[in-house]
Amino acid sequence: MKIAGKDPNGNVKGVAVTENGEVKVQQTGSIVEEIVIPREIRNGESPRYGRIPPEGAIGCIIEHRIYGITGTFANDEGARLQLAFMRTWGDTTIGPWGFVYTDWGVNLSSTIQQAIIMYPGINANMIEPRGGSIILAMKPISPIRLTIQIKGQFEEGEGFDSEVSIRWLLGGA
Amino acid sequence: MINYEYEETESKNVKPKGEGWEFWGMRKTPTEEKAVWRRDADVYGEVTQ
Repeated sequence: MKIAGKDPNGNVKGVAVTENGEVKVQQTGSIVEEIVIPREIRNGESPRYGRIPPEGAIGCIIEHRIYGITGTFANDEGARLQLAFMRTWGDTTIGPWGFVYTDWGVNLSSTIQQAIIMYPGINANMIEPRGGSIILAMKPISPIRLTIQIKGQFEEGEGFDSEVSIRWLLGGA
Repeated sequence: MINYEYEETESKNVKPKGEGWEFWGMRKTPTEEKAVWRRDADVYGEVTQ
């Protein structure tokens, strides 16, 4: 089942699909990579984008790729990723049963990465997350929904130029 | 959307090296303040291969 995200007003947002109606992804060996939230300059919350983990996915790396930032930010402001875990039955756009958030960040990805990593058995104590990144020792066990959240003061045209990618790690990757 | 690339300098009076840069705005946090410049990466981006 393909999931369409919804914007804060509840309007459905479609996912990029091929002529055959299949979600566009790029597969390289046992890694499937796609852009989930398209690149855009934003100064407010993005629409919500949903994904079902592909069959055989044992982990994933979700990256908020921040190319440029303008605006004025206090402590606990900037941009962060919200990861929502959606229900696994029926309409998988319903939920969520849980949330994970990165910290608020005001740094470019050229200096500090903002990411959420899911992989079973990963020892999070061995890694010092930077940029408010999150490490989850688990498989992607349910449909997910991703949103960029933004807080700050912005002049016209200012904001975060960014996109969100996800790399699904399959099988023995 | 234009595929921008960005550079930051200490003030809007200091322009990055190279051509095509336009001032976009300021990035201000409690610990720093930077001038942010941008240019069309498809026009001015460096060839790496």
